Amino acid sequence: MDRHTPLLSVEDLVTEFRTPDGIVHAVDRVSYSVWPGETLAVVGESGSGKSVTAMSILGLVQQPPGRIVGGRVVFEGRDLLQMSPREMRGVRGKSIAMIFQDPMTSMNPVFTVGFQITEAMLAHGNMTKREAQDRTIAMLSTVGVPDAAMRFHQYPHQYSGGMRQRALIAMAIANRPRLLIADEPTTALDVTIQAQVFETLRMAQAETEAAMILITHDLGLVAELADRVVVMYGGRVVETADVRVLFHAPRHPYTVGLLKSLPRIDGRAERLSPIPGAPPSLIHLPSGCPFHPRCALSNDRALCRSERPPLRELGPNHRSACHFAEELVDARGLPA
Amino acid sequence: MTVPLPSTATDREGLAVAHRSQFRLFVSRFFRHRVAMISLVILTAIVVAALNAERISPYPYDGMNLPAANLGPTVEGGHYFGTDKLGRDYFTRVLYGTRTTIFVAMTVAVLATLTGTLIGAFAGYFGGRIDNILMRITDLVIILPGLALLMILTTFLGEGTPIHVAVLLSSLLWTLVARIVRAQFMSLKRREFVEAAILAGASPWRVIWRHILPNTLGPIIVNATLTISTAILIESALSFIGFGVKPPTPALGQLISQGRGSMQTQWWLVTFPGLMIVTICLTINFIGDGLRDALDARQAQRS
Amino acid sequence: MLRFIANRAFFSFFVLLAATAVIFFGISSISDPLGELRSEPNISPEALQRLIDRKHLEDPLIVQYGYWVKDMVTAQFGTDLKFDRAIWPELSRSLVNTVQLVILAELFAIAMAIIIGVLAGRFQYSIFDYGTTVLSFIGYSIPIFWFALILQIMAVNFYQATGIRAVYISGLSSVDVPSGFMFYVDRFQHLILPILALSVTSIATYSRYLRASMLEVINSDYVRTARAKGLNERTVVLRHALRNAALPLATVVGVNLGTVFSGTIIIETIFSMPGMGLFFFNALSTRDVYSIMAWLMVTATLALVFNLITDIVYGVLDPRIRT
Repeated sequence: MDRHTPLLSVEDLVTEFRTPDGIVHAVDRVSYSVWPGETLAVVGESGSGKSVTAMSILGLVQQPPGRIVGGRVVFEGRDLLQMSPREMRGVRGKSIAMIFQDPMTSMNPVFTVGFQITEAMLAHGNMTKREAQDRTIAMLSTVGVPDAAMRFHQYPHQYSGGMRQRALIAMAIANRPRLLIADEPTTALDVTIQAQVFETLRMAQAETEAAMILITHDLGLVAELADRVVVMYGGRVVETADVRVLFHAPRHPYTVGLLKSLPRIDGRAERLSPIPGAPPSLIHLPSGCPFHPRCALSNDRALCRSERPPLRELGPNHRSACHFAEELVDARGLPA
Repeated sequence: MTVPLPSTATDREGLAVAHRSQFRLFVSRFFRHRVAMISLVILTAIVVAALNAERISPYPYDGMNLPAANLGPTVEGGHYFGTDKLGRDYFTRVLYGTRTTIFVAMTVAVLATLTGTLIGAFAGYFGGRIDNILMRITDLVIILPGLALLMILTTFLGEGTPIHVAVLLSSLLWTLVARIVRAQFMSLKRREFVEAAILAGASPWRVIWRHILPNTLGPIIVNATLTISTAILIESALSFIGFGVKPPTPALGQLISQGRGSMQTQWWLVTFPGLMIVTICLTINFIGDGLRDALDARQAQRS
Repeated sequence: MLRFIANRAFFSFFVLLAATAVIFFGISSISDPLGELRSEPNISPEALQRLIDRKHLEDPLIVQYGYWVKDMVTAQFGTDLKFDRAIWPELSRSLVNTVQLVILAELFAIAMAIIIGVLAGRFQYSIFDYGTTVLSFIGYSIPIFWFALILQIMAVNFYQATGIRAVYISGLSSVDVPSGFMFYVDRFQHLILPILALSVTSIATYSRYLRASMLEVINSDYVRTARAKGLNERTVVLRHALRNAALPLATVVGVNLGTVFSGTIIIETIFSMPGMGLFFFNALSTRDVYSIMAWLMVTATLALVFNLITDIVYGVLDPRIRT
């Protein structure tokens, strides 16, 4: 695969929802790319649009009340949004696979785990049931489910939470997808289990050499797993950068705020410093830059209130949507 | 026959997204209430007409008029529903029958709801042995076919008067109310405001009367409307097979049974009383549905 | 799985036992066969004494209960009071006819409900959905006996208009029908109207439940996963969604059975079918408490058996219950 063409390219994607209170742009001209084999983290609070973007990529947005109204999603050279439902079904679960947040409810309780995984295989490949079964058992072993042959015939309620998520990971990589989308894969799990599942995820990605979009609000996970990061706020991308650059030289006040609000063991701090204010209601988004009411940098400047900042290039692979991003670098006194 | 409403879900971003587009939501709510309103109007008209049968209709219930026998629905002579084989005006007969039906239904509603609420409240609040016994009783009643039990009771105990029928019906239908009230009480009992009241030293009676009961009123009322509808259907069935309200007291089921013999040629004898039953039950069901919708809306607002 | 069934069967047995007591003492409390016999003018004192001895009418109630249970178990409910006729032969014959009707009507109702429920849930707020909603409201509001009569009127009108005997309005079979395939066709023609009339309320109830259930299930996470796997919509709806949506239906069917049995009494009367309804009418008209009690026991047993079956079906469909 050509290392210079992105595997997936989201361009100016717009997804809206009709609610009783009005039309909401959950995804508002979002653009980012994913290169083969890389791990891209998409970070943001609830309501930032990170999950809806992922669902839009796979065409899983509920048609009422949601609707994709603009943009392109180019995957391996083809625009997914233009595909017929049938072609899209060929992509889902095969070239692009998704892992969801809550393993408790993501598996059908009335079918065996083995059946649900072989179903994914048989839907996309030409093999006999026997072959699918053997492959599934092997896959379950790979992701660390003990006694896989027996577990194949068990039901989801007989698995533990961590095991279930691992089975779901097995289901996702069953057809060797080129792109894995993991939507908050460890959020619903106990902390101790998180580490295990997260290891499984890393291994799964290595095994299949797939690219991964990791959607999370956990910056620790981002630091460990991601190559690049996309930060979203109010349905828009506010910053993209390589992971190290993001952590050491963020160039958007929201990112700065996020990093500052992380509790740290080193250094002394008397109190946590959260970002003041609350995430915006998508129905009543602030004018201009959506972050400006909570922004320390803005100082209530007119430009922030009136004009939406474009996502512009500030350095190699580093983009930020802030009118005054340069001031940030200066204030921190770090080399650009 | 409660119908649960579709649920609202949250999308991944925490937005409360109703599963209907805005326009459709509005249409649906409005339609429901419109229908309930229209039903209320129709039902009231029927009830008022039935209660004032003497004033509305120029004909008496039993007024035979042989020359005018076996007429289909017609405008002349004001026989809108036709006449039966003895020349009696059918519209009048249906109206009087409706009156009986309404009387029985209302009586059953009151008796069954009162009894059911009392018993259900006790069982739900105090639990334990009482609750167990009550539940076994209602279980057994549900297993056996209600109509058969009523027929047995009528055979040995019944007299064929509307009051008697109403009492017998209530003796079975209270179980439905009791179940609902019990479930409500059991869940409400555990709520914080009840615990607070108990801790503050309120007696069980006071807790039930002032705290739990007002919150149960909604489901009770909705259920009462369903009970009325069920009572009407059962009463007319009983009267049809001769185990309900017996002549000379008029009843819609009776009229249908009497008209059955000649129904191929004089279709109006069977059709109109039946339509009346369907209309009454339909309006009641729509009203009950509207009530339940309004109730749910209020609940959603509160919580 | 077998343990689950055995468990249920065991429990049902005890309920049945309790039912015998409830039925016997319940009936005894409202009837007075001894008093009625004594006040009848046409019985000679010797005949009266024979009846009393045969049925132990002067013994305390508990003892009579014992004799009755013994009769039930060893002598198939024994004989009726006045004429000493065996109860079971006629009861069992009626039983078969009624059960046949109930099973067919319920299967039909379930099938219709699944079709309506799935389509209405899938195409929420469509014309189909609103239409079936209105129809189910009407279904709740129609008296079964009246609907049956209307069906009969329509059938006769159809015959008079076209000369074709598509369906029959009474009886179980025609007199002159040959055996083999035509027999079943004929039986079907006789049963179709009763089944339609009997299933109306059930269809209304079940389809509403299924629709609501489908709406909930279709928005669940595991259906989302199924779609994300790339399965086609039909598989998602019929395999993943429906299996889960149908589960609560099993419970509803069990609870609805009493209503269905009540309905058969009426339907059998209107369509002149020789079933348990007719037996019951006769028993009531002669005020024969033994026939009535036998009828009640059989009905209770049927209800328990059907509930057992629905429990088992539930267990088959939902593995969480079994393990």
